[in-house]
Amino acid sequence: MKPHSAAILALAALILLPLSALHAEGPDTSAPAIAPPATGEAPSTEETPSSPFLPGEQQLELSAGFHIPAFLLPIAGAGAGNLYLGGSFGFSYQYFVARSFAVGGNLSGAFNGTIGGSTVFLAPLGATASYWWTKLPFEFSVLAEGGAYLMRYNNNGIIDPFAKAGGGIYWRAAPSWSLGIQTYLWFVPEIHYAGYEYLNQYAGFVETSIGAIYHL
Amino acid sequence: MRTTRLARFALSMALASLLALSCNNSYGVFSSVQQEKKQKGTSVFQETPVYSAFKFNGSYYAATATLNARSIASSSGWSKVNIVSSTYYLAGAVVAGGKIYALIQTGTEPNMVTSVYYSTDGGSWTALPGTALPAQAYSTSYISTFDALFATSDGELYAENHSYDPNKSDPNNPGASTYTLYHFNGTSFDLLSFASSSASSLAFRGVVKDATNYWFNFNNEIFRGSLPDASNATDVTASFASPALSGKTIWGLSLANGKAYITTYDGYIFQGSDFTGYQQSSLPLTQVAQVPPIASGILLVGTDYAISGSLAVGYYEGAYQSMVGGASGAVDNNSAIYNTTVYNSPVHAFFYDPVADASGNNTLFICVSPSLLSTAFYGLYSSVWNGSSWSGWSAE
Repeated sequence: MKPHSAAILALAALILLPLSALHAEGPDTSAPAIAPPATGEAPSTEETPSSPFLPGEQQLELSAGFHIPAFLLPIAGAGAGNLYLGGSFGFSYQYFVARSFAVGGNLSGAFNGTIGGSTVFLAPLGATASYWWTKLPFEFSVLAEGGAYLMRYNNNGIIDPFAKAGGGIYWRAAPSWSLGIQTYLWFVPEIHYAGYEYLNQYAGFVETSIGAIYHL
Repeated sequence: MRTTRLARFALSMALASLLALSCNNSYGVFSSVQQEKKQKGTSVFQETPVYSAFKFNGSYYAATATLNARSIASSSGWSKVNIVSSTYYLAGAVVAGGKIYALIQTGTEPNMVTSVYYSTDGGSWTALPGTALPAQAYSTSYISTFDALFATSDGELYAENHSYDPNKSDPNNPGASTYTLYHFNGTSFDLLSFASSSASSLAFRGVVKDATNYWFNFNNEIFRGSLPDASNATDVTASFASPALSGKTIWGLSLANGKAYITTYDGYIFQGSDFTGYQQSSLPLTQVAQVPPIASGILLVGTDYAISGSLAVGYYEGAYQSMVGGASGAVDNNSAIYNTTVYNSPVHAFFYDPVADASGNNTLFICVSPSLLSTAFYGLYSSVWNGSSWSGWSAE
């Protein structure tokens, strides 16, 4: 197996292991935490709740979209102009610990072609904190994420800290589904040490994607 | 439960270690991206292997399955040389004695015709008489044809005959074929004989002439003699004793810095002037060339794919016995350009023009096979030496 493929599989496994553990222990720990709706009636699986995002609720999201190079600093050549428009995808889990406030995890991937014919591949893994509110049938969110990313380029790799922030607008298409668009700014610092600090770079990308949220 | 937790912990640690091993602190990804150059080559060499390049009569030539040329003085691009017509297969092209010689195959088996054409200006071509080359044969069970031309810097011309049974599983396996070498006497080709019982079963890799001797290179034997017809050539394979050349598969023979260099499949480079050698790589080494910038020149040595092991190829450069990977050297200018041009591509040959053009620049060509594993889409790249620095590789 090539190191590139192995690293991607390893990263995927790292995010899926804790999620699977949470899911396996879910019936024992999360069920009592689900609060009743404000009306005091049990929520119907067929109706959209009038006040979602209550403590104990959970949601999964799949997203895919564009990955737009914004900046590469300091300028050591052609800057971000050497990166082409790319693509991104993501998978996230969120758990509402308080009304409208959720924490969770996110595994993303993004790729951008380069002017020389190479490809830069990024795979961030992070913890998220988000705030959600609604004006049905629309829902809104702002989100911040911190974590680490794995990057591959021309058979070279690096792992460094990662952060992103942004938000989205969604339409509650069905009681369990919301569809929407979201935009995030990715901050991708490339940090070197032990005499290679001159290679330090700070990159920014704008993710504009479509998201599908499943409310568990 | 405890066992499950331990297993998850161990798996997490293993995966984390795997991730850490994939990191390279000494390589700047984004800084390399910023230094990339767009490669805008011509369609002539797009996804096409280029086997050799040379200069003749004010033009550069590059050999693919056809012969292609571009003028040095004008800005016109590369164009195909119509040697016999617009359709032919070029088995090889060399410059010898003020002429370009091209080995041309036309037609299909069993009616294939292999001929040698020559030109004194690159524009008009003349076939050597049919009797110049020994008779060839094409049948369902036996093929005898000429498949390579070689030339020395003093104008001697050679042709390799390859005879084999096409029904064998690997007809190019030296053990299943017969190879013979012919020397051009100005009118026709004469068979050369070598004092070895195995020479006729060995593929011929090349011939060069240093200050005094001709070096004839079969794939596991080296002969040396002062006469171009090899009549006084002797087997000097055993003279390369430490390390031993005997038993190795020879992959290339080149003349650089006035010396013969022999390269092997297992990554050794031997210097003919003093019979020394050392292992530069675990990859097969192909051709050697000498270029500036230092007075005595630096050497470049190309690599080839190995049947097994690492697929990373490209070239090494530096002084003899102290070469580094091309990404760390001077000619490629920076690693980003190296990685997006010739890296991962087998290198067939180099050609350095020691005569500066009207702008005072010298051009170095590298001939490669574009690889599926590489971002390189072209078979020919060049880098220009302006007297003080290299431009970096750019697709032709």
